[in-house]
Amino acid sequence: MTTDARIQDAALSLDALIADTERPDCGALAVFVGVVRDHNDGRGVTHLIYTAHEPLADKMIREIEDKTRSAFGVEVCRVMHRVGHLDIGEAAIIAVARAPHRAEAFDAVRALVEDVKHRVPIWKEEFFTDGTSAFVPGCSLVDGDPT
Amino acid sequence: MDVLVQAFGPARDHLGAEKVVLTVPNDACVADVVGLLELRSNELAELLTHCAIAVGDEIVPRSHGLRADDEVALLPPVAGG
Repeated sequence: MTTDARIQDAALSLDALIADTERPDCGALAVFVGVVRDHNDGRGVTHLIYTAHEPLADKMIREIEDKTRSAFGVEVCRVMHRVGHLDIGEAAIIAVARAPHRAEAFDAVRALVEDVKHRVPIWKEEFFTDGTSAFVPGCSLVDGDPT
Repeated sequence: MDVLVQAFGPARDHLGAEKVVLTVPNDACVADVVGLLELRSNELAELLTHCAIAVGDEIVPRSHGLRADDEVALLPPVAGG
């Protein structure tokens, strides 16, 4: 699979992303994988549907990668996010950071995931075992909006 | 002129459609589109107060001037990951 598009509707491949970001000068590779779990707030979850404003989300993820590379002094930051129907256990987001040493790689991968969760136009709809569904309340992109 | 409004996430449910075409004055800005949408329901009006607006692939302020056939995206609070 190609790993260039930050928003993907096919299953995410961590192996491909690791292969595409290999660096001989980096001794640390930090990885985060967010997978769909079978419950939320005490309710059983059967699956999720993610949607995105794909052109804007792709652009914003690239901006977050650039900003994180600079902020933490790491060589590689990459994120891929899945959209569409995801079953329990499937990967919704994968993020990698590569750096000469582990401390900045750990910090960068955490920052990457937090920023993508809170700043990128992606929405998560949960489908529950009782047949109902709901969008997960999120973070407003409006400056100064407390939601 | 016509502009295309695209709703994402929960805004889609409140708008009742993924896309609607609105006819607005030729000198309309984003705030004019938001004002028209607020008239559709109290629920949509409330959600719009928390929505960022994008035209194309840029998030823009409410004062952003529109052109014919612009695509105006309603971006409610986000929850990726």
